[in-house]
Amino acid sequence: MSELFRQRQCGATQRCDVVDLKFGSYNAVLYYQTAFRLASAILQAAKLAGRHEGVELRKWLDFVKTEHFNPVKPTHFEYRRSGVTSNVHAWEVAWEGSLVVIKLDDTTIKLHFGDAFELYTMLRLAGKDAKGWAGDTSRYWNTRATLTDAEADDKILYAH
Amino acid sequence: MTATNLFEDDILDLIFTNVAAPNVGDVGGLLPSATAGSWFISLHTGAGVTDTSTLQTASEAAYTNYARQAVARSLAGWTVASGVCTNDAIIGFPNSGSGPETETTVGLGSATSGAGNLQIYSALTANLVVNTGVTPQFAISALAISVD
Repeated sequence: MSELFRQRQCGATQRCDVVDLKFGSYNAVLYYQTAFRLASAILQAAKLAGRHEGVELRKWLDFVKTEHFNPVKPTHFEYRRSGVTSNVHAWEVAWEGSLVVIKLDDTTIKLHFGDAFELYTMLRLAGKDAKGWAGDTSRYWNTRATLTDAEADDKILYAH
Repeated sequence: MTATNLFEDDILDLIFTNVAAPNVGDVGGLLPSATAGSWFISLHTGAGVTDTSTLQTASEAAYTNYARQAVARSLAGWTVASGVCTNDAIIGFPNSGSGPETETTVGLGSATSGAGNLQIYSALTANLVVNTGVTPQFAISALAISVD
């Protein structure tokens, strides 16, 4: 399955200590740790995809600036688990021109980078809610470091 | 107890852009460094960098012409928003004069060369094999550090 979705057809919501990620009829269940990593990957891909439409680096802030006005639910007072398991075993995020490509096992979803920014915000907020439900008060430091060959990167940029 | 989104950004700002994290203790909060300085970005090979590593020379890249790259702790060097900090400009390493060498890890430390202090590290999203003529780089936004 490989389809181009619009933002209104996708969303991320918290359910106990997992995050439901919906694309049309497809529903992925993610652990909140995975949701954070996936969100970080989507953001990076969206910013790289945005360059192909000449979007200024700081313009992406406009897409995600509402996050501070959506307070997450309070953290539960003790550690707990729902027992719900993830149905995603492997994931990957890339970009093609101005599209962000998300692969969840055998499912491929393509989003415009603007929609991907919105999805990033939804995914991250849902992840925070799930983390709070689980009573997890730790901090997650995630790093996405994509090292490339400058010459190969230039070729990609000029090709689009 | 957990940190708010706003405070996460404040902490990242303090670390990467040398902007005070306000309202901690007093309105001024956690103050920026007197000298902002830079983060020195390094590349590493194998699995030699761990949480117990302290020296930036640990398994550091050694291809011909390699050198750490400085990114100023400033608003021009990094953008912080929504709990994510990303690089504002290409972080380009010198063109390799030897190889192959497989880069697996990126490090952030305090010294332009020598042992220094390794303070942040991460596995690369994908290893990069550096052969003669390869110029490793982090494109704009390709180095993203987030707190959740």
